[in-house]
Amino acid sequence: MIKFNNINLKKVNNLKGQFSMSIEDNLTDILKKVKQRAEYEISDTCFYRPINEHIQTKDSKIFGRSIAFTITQDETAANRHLLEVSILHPTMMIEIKRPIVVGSKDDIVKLLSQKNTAPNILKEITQMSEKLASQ
Amino acid sequence: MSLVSKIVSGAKTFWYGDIATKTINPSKAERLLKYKGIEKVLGNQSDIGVTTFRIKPDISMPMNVHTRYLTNPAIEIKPNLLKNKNQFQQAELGNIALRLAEKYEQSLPGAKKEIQDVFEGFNVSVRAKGANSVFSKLERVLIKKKQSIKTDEEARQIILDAIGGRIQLADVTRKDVVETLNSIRINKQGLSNREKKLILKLFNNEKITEKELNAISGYIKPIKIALAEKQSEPVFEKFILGGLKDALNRKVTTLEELEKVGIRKDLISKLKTDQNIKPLKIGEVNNYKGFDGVSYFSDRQINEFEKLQLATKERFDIITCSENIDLAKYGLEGLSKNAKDAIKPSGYTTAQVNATLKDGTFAEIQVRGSGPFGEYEHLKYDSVLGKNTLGEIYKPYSQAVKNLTPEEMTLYDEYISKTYDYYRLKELNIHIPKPELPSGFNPILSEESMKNLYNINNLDQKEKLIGFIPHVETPNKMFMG
Repeated sequence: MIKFNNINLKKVNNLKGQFSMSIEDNLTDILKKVKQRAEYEISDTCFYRPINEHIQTKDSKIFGRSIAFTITQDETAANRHLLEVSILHPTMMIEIKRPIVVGSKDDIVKLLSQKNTAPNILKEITQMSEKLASQ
Repeated sequence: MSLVSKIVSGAKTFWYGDIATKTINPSKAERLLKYKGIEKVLGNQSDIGVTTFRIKPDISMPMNVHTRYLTNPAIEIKPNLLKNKNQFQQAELGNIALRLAEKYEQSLPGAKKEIQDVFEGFNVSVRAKGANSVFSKLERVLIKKKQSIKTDEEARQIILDAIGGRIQLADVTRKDVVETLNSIRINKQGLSNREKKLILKLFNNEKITEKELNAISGYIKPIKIALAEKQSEPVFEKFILGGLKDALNRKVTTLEELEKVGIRKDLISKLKTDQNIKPLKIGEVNNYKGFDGVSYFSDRQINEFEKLQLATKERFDIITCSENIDLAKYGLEGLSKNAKDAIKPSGYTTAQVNATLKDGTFAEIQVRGSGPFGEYEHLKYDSVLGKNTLGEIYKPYSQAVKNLTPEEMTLYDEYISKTYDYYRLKELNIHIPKPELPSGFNPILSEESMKNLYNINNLDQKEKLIGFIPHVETPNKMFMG
């Protein structure tokens, strides 16, 4: 006789959306990712594709659909890179952005390694989100 | 007689007289009116001075004659009361608008000179924001942001376009197009002669085969961007040099710092050698464009504004409004936008840079091309928002817009956007067929009709303004909203 485990497949404990991370935790995670990618992908001598990392904002403190961190290479100087943060309006028709740092690969990685970077960026994001909310 | 009634009666006696004369003792008036609950006690609005100010023949707004010449609102302006159309609140807001508009008018000559000096050689027009426009903006922002204000200064901080400057760019010429095609590098390669010929044919709205179109389709967007950059580069330089000069003058940065962040070498060289650069403290940069539109500032130019921020460590926002934002950056590729949530006019294409003038007045300097659509395209947006800046002549148009179903509104937005793109591309010497109003739509909604209404309204306003002086209407004519 074949015995089946008594699993009630309909009973799914769906935690989706119930315990969303705060923006502070999200930010720490994403800055870690950006730093890893910066260390691996940025080149001061060769072309590389822009680095993009994003988080969907579910924290009610921040007005916006999604936050993106982008690192791009200066067209005129291969050893100069710009890290910027941008927020997308919920209508997806407006974005607001600010630069965080411009410099060599080392400058970018150094900034992303500092302890006070996340709180400083959070302040910028909060200000940007207030501006976006007034659009 | 209750204490409140005695005070009110005293206040009325104190001020009774010619409403055009200034209150003799504003601070006493202010103290009297700030007595708590005063607006609740009084039933008859005209007793407390609430009336109508006729700004233009077709446009009026509320005001309070008794508190008009105070230096701050008599009561705190609250968003929930404004939203409920509380007439006392609206009248105080009207007074703020009148006081601010007066100040803007006074600073206009100096502002004009400053802006025209910075943008010498360009077609620049400068105007001060009118009272009805200030009133509309304050009401909208306070309700939207659920913000209260207690002073005129708090209201002043909201109006970032107290002085409006507009710079009209010249169109791109055929010579510019040919030069761009000869010099552009896409994926580090120039265009072949055949590709250049096909692109010129396309830009002249001549027929090309689908195969030919496929051969050049990948080059169209970068060429449009290059042409737009060519068109705006002279004025962009004025902005960025003005901002750099101002930052150096205020000693918030140095030439070394500017070089370190990578400001373009040619800009640094001009800063060192050109003594005629006029400083301009720049702020927020807005870069609007339509769905298939081409913004006035390119990404490269926006990057220079970002580098200025990094060099000065002064934060201002760079805002892009487009129906075609790169959603992949945000992990949202493939999602469609809801056109009814569009909060800016569809297709609206302009670059705007906020600035703070020498006397502290806020200015918004707009960059536009010669395309006329920008003058009247806002009618659709204003109709949807119910702004009181539209005159009587536009009522049939506004009604036709309001009568559109959500599906029709989507189609109308697309039509407006395509019309905008048509005129924008014309500025870049790129000719495409003119879009047509969707079939079955009220002809009053067409672009030609909007242009006609705009011209008729302008003529009508000019005629009505002959001999017209903005004035307070008789106390019996209450502001009805």
